[in-house]
Amino acid sequence: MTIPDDARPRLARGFRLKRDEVRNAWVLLAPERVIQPNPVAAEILRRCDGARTLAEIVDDLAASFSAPRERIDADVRALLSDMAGKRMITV
Amino acid sequence: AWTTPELTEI
Repeated sequence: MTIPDDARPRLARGFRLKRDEVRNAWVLLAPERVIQPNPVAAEILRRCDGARTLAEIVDDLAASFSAPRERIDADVRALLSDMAGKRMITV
Repeated sequence: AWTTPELTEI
């Protein structure tokens, strides 16, 4: 699915992003499942608070990482589209 | 560094 720039993505009901101090990583807790985002995916999901728009999330990430904004934009959209298709986030 | 975001079911 295509996510518009003004969408305000947030984790779906039952999904929770939690810091796992034992693994020293973020984990995504879901009913009956534990999902490990890699560091970049965790940075994206931490910003999906339902308040920030997709464009704002990409802007923020582009300010934090040295990668081209186009690359960040494409990767964020790909991840969130995939997660929305699996009903892991709402947009 | 920016890398492709990925999720792994653990």
